[in-house]
Amino acid sequence: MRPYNENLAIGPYTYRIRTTLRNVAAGLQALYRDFPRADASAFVDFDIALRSHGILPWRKLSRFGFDGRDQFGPVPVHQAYASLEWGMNWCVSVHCNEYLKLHAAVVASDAGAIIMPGVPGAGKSTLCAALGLSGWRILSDEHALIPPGSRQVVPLCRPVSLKNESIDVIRSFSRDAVFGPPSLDTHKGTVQHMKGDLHPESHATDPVPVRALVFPRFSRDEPQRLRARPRTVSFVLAAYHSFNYSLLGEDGFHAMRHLVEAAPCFDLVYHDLEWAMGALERMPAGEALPQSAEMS
Amino acid sequence: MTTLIDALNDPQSVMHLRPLQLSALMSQARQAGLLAALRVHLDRAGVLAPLPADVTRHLDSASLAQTKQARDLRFEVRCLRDALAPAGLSPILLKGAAYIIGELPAGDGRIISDIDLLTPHAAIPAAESALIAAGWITGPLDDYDEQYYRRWMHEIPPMAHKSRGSVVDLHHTILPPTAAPHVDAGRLFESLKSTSLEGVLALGNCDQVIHSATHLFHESEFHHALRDLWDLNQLLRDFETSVVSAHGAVAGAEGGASVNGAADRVDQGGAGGDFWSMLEERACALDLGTPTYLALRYASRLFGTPVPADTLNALRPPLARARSLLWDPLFLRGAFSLDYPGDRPRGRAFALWLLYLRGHVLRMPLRLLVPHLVRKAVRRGAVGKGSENVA
Repeated sequence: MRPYNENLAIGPYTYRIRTTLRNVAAGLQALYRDFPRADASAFVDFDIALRSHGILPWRKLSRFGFDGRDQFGPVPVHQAYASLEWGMNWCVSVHCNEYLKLHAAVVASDAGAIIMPGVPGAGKSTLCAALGLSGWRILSDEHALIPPGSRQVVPLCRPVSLKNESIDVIRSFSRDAVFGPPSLDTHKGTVQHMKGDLHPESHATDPVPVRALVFPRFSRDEPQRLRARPRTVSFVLAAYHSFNYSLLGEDGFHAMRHLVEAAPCFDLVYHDLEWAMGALERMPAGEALPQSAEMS
Repeated sequence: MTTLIDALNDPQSVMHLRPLQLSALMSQARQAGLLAALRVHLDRAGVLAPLPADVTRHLDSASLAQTKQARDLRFEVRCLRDALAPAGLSPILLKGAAYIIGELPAGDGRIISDIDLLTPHAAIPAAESALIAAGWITGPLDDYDEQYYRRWMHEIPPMAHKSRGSVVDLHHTILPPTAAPHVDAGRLFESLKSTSLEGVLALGNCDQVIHSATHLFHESEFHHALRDLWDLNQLLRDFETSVVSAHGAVAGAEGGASVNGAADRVDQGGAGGDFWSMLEERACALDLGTPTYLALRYASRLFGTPVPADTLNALRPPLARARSLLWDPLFLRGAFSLDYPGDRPRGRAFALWLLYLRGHVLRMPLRLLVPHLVRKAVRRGAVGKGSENVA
């Protein structure tokens, strides 16, 4: 296989990605094949190179190079693909502050974008993948990028990161899901990425109006529900899920207030994907919804 | 491969860069820790606005992060001041924190990794107890590391605040006591100056330069070498033109507690003399002429700092001409070079490795160094990367 060397246009950013590792190149070819290429002479935001490291044939390692420097220390080569995707997230999480950034999955229908902030394990990626496979547009699996002062989200569509049981859940949910190479025994368990640009509009770059904030939580034991929640509590929770709310200081406060002021907020507790998707489809425009309304 | 240095020296030149050269510039500045500082510099030169938005957003992002850090630093320094007050001590800031809180041009856009404080050796136990009482604690260290710091180093093990995470390095002198130059640390307290925070002090101007130079040229790791040299350029240009008494304004007199009363003393000698001759005199008095010479040599070489030839000649160490045959390739190709664009420049890894050894040899005699490095190597092999907390 030839070494991979592409300038990918991903949302508002251009990533230059190079690797000589076969499994990583194969993953990139599968998951990014439909991404637009940036011109080779155009400005590059993030320059990433994954290289093999170490001389022991039974202990092959990979290094994530950014700005020409090894950033995270070597990982086993069978975890290299996940380290690439995490590193690509890190570029945005750490280096970009032109947006208010929430750690969230973001999906859109004709009615607008739904931001789903959540801690790891809340089930946001699983739900995001299932929605993407059912006709919704995936705007991001990781970052909701909000231009301060707007009520819009900037698309940053990339593959969806699935972990452990979620991989099989999505495999049985749809035969159409395209997966990259599995990364085994990472600190998050087994991780596999699903092709995320499934919608005709996936690579459009225009900001999408925010329709709602939904805080998902996967729970087998509780009754499933989509329930409106007070804005004040949602504000604090959204700030908690933000990468740079406090970094932006007063501007962060105003940006978050402006966003939450107009967006209805919901708690979503679910264990059945079909139910959760139906609930989101039927979700009312929040202004009309009493704060305690419950749907099932 | 000098995109960043060119941009710092001649901000107008960025107007003519092609997109890929601008990518390289952003990348180099980020790598050097100078992205926010570069923004300040370009903005002053009026060339920020004309740059494309996909370039300026990187500069703006770094600037926002730096602004937040400087705001947090101010808060932390106030906490440190209040924590040390019961012990009758005032915080004396070193390096980045001193530039920012001292509101020097070198502090504009400066990012820091921890807060360096200086305190007299005799006051270390009192300062340490006061900081522990206020929530700064030392992470778990094994006996060897603990002893290494306490016995051989110029600082005690780093202390991190238990809830806020701010890290304080408490120094009692400039260099490890095992290093060859014998610095009389007591003299550092002769010429302290005030900062923008009441009761918070910094070293005098000359001492700030000498301290920064000494750190840079006794280092064994050079991740921030270019930034440190840029600091020196900024400090020298600033101090050269600012009219102050001897080694800096006298501070602490009305600023509350002073360190052993030392801050109240007026500078000795050289009042009215120009900055460069005071720097020269001070560097010799502290036995730190060589690192000061190297700082002036490379700051003027890379950033055109207007160092008078007389000063450079006066500080020139023995055999400088011969030694520079080694210095120049090591510092220019190793320490002050950058890894981007493309791959690591030829010979950089080797130069950095030699500088690593040089830094250690300068820091301690071989009879101490060899067992220490062997121990580090064995432990690195046994535990793997990431467990390294000994300098």
